[in-house]
Parts: sequence; structure tokens; C-alpha cells
Amino acid sequence: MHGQIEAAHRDGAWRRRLREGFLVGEGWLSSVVGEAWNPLAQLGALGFLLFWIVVVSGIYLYIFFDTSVVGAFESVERLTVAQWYAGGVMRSLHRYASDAFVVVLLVHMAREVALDRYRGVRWFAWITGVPILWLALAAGVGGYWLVWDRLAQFIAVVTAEWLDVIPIFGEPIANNFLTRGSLGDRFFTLLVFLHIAVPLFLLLALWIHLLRIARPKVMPARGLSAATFGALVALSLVHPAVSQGQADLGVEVVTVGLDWFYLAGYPVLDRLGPASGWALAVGATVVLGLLPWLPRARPLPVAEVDLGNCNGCSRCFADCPFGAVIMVPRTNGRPFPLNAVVDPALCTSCGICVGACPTATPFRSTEELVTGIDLPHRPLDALREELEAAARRGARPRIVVFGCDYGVDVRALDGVAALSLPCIGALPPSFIDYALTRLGLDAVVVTGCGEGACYQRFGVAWTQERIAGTRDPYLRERVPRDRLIQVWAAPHEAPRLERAIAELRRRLAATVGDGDAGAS
Amino acid sequence: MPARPSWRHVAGLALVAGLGAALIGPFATWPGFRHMPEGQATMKVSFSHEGDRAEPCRALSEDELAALPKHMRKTEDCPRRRLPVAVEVLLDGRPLLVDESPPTGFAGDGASRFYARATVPQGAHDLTLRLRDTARAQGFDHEANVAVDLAPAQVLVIGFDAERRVFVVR
Repeated sequence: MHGQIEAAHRDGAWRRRLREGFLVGEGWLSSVVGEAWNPLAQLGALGFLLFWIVVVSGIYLYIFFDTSVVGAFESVERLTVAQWYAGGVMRSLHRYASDAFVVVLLVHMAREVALDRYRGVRWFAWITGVPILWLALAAGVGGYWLVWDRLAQFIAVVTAEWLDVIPIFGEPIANNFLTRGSLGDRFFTLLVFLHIAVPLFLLLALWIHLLRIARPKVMPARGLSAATFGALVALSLVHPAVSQGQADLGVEVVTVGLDWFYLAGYPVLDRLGPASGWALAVGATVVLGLLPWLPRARPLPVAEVDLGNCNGCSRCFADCPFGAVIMVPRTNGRPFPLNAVVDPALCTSCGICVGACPTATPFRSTEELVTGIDLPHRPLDALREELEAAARRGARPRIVVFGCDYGVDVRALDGVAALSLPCIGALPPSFIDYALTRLGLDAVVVTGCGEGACYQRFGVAWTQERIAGTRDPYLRERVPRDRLIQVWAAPHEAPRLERAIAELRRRLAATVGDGDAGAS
Repeated sequence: MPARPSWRHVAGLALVAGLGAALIGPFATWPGFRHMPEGQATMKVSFSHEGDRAEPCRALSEDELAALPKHMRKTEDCPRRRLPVAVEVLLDGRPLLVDESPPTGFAGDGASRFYARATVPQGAHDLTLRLRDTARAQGFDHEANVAVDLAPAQVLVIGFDAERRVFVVR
């Protein structure tokens, strides 16, 4: 029944440590900058912001850039020195935003691995993310090439030798960089074209990357955007990007300052040679690409629609974080224009659709609770039975905790009835109502992943909105809010959840009983 | 729903963004990388050259010519494949590059290509350059001895002028 719980808690030690590292870091950052501005919770959106900063600053630089061997370096120098207040800042912004883009990309990948959000049906986003890495790298290297300083000379020769290993070019590209006269102006025209084309492909790849994500966040919170931009401008003024002397193909580069965010592979390539460089690049790409299947996630049964109970209200469609629920013209003749259909290739079995379904209410008098949409491995009927059983057990104050398989392991809590769901978003608010007003439980605790770190993306947000009465289905107004608490706690924050429950128990003891808390 | 940010959060965000920028800035140029040790120079061998035909051209007989359409009649049949080209570059008598490169192209009718880069000590050196582009079993078809004096970090390029059939050192 609790297959997902087992899956969630069966991770290897390395992933547990990595996940805990991220969650602890996120918790700390949230305490410093606030939930809304936590950069770790919006890395993808931050990446988009940085991409657009790079694009806008790049357009400015392009206006003044001269596409010739001598003109390239001189035009960049003019921008940097004579126009430091505008062109210089733009150049630095272009560089530092690109560097930050790489950092965000790598942290984003590490976080998805740590939180195990790259396997199963989420393989698509991972696989489409791998080319993004290469495209970002190609765009960055191309940019350094255009400056045509000593660094550009170094990476031009090493890159050309690396590319020449593939026997598809009529003449070796490295021949362009042999002597002072061997490089033509047209090469820079080609480079500029590539430096525009590659980011366009990158944008296309980013769009494909988000295809299977509903409501993707492509712009960070305003405060975070402003702070990021401000910090990059400040860095540009304090530590402006400068060239490293004009390239001279007649004189070898001896030492060079490297941008380690983009060019960390060049020392390796330089030392090991182009063939080994290819082996490493192809090997790393293959391993990255195969990661979702090393090992593959255990597949879970996907949500199922019961046409007899589905009235086509579209709430499941609106709430699904992965676009797995679509609405189609009615297929069973009932007098509703639409009904829901689940795409198994997109469904993560989170159950958020169940939490959104208006038929998913325990108040229904049917013997078996059959809902418009339900999870075969965690049916709502069983949840109602567990809740009713919990109401018959234990001494007062009787508290039920609705938890999430990816948050604190609520099964380990003492003195409370704990019911875990694949996502807290799978909990229809009517269950809270049912527990407090029908079954007579004394209090309900709702917990899930840490805020901003919901494993299923919107489970925490939708639950908060449903309880606040701003999202269908609402928690009814009659539910006493003083007997309901929400604690958004990451798996390592069990003590915080326990403290909140203890406080709740103390408060209840004063009103509902003699405080014989702890019995169960 | 996330709590409304406070002034403490504003200060925290400014600090975190500043720290992020402070981490990115230095690593955009530092630490430097030494591509080549001091007191060295670079020698590059780079050229393309066609070896002789693997089989000589053959004159077509009258009957063979008559069998061809009028506009396609040519006096000789020349098989496309070319021989591999062998190159030796010796620096002060020690081999720097010893290579044999096959002809390029699916039909093996293109030029053989050479590209190599080596780091050598600066100063005076004797270069011996040899190239074989025919079917001879031993020896070389082209040979040159060149004395060079390399400045620190100088890039010396060795090529082969296919028209004049001589080595070119720049």
C-alpha cells in the first residue's frame, strides 16, 4: 500500500546525505533571506533570469563589436576602457551572468539528483537538460573566442585541435591559427554567427526542457531578481572583466587566466590531448544521459479516472504539476461535456489530482468511497478507513497527522495517529473537516515537504491555498482553525514537527482534557 | 504561502547575493593556468599533401574509347586512389614526428593531412625534414635540413609547399 513511502525512504546513504545537505542549506537560506527569495528553491527561474541578462548585455556588445581579426580585440578594448560606464559594465555583466548561469545549472542538476527528481517519468526533463549543458558551454567558449586576446588564442588552438579529431572538416580548423597571417576576418563573422545561433538553440532546448512541466516558473521572485542583478552590476564595477593582451599567433601562450566556470576542461584537454578529451566528453555525456536509469525508479501505479464519478470539473487538470491530466470530450455518455484522462507517461503518482477532486470527500455515504480520480496504491477509501480507525483509538487529546512520504516520516511520531500520503497535496481538505467535525478528533496537523521544496512541486502550495480558501476545493469555514496547524518540515526537521505537536498538545490539554497526552 | 519578507530578509538577501558575486568574480580569471613551461617554444607541423596515384594512369584502347559515349571519351583511365604520405621530423637527430597519413576521402583520392604540436626547448636546433609521397620502398622523396634558433614562446610552423614541392619553415 505504501509503495512510495518505501521508495522515498530507500535511498542510498550518499543520496540521503546529499539531500539532507541541500535541505539543511535551503532551510538556513530561508531563515536568512525568507522563503520567497530562497534562490535554491527557484534555480531554474534564476537560470532564465541570468540567460536574459546575458542576452540583453550581449545585444549591446554586438552593436559595437567589429568582426575582424584586429577590430575584434580593439572594439572590445574600446568598450571596456573608453566606455567603461556602459560597454565595460555590459561586458562584465555578460561574463559574470554567464558564469552564474553555469553555477545555477550545476547546482540545479545536483539538487534534482539529491531530491531524486530526475528518474521515473521525470527522465524527460533530465535528458533534455544534458544538451543544455553543452550548449551553454559552447556559447560561453565562443564568447571568449570573440575577444581575441591571449586567452582566446589559447582556447582557439586547443578547441580547434579537439574538433579536428573528427575527420569531417575539409581542412583542419587548427590551420586557421598557425601563423600571424593565417586567420581571416571571415572567421570572426562565422564566430559571431555561431555565438548568436548557439544561444538561440539553447533557448529552444530550455523550452523543450520545460515541455512536461505544468506552470514552469521562468522568472524568480522580484526581490531575488533585483538582488541578483544588483550584485552582478556591483561585481562588474568592482572587478570589471578585462582582456588579457591581444592575441599573437606567432607567440605561444605561456600562462593564462582561466574562467573556471566555462574553461575548467581546457587544462585537462591540453594535458591529455584531444582524443582523450573526446573520450571524457562522450563518456561524461553518456553517463549523465543514462543517470535516470542507474538505477531506474520503481514505477508506481498511475492515477486512475472513474468515469462514473468524474464530472469533468477540470480541477485535477488545473492542479496537476506535470500536465499528466488532460480533459477530453466525454467518453461514457454522462451529461458532462468533458472527462479527465491520465497520461501514464507523465504521471508521477503524486495524487494531487485526488486532493483536487470534488468527489473525494469522506462525507459521502457510500459504503466504498470511489472518487472521480484516485491512486490505486493509496486509495482514498483506505485513507478514510484509517482515519476512522484512528478516531476510535487512544486517549485525548486525539491528534491526527497528515504527512507526506517525502517530508518527515510521520510514522515515527509518538502519541498521534499518522497518515502518510504520496504528497500532502493528495489530501482533500474535506478530510480535515471530517476528522474534526464528524469523527471528533481534537486536532489535525498537516505536514509535508519543506516550503519551497515540495517533491511534487505544488503539493505544499495547493494545500496552503485550499486551507486558506483561495483554491478549490476549499476547507470549509466551519472547520475550527485553532485545532488545525500546518508544519512544513523537510525530512531532517522531525524535531521541529515534534515541538509543534507538543505545543499543540499542551494547548489542547487545557481545553479538552486532563493532558494525558502520549497515550495512543 | 511564504511569509512576507522583512527588512532582515532584505539585508540577508543582499548579503547572500553579495557573497555569490564575491565567489564568482575571482574564479572568472583566477587561478591562472600555465600552458607551457618557461624557456620553451612551440613547433607545429601542419600541411596537406597528395601522394602519388596508387596505380598509374593507363591509356585507353581504341575499342574502349569507342565503347564510351562521345562526350565522355578521355584518353586515359586514372584510378582515383592515392598513396599514403610519410613524414619524419627530427630535432637535433631525435624524432619529433614520425607519421604516415592515408589519403582522405571515401575514395581515398584526397590529400593526406598532418597536424602536430610539440613543445621544444628554446635556442638553436637542427631540423631534419623528410617526406615520402611515392611508392618507393625505402628512403624519402623530399628532404631538407634547416637550422633554427627559437626564441622563448616562439611558434615555428613547418609546412610543405605542394606546388614547389619543398618544405616551408615559418
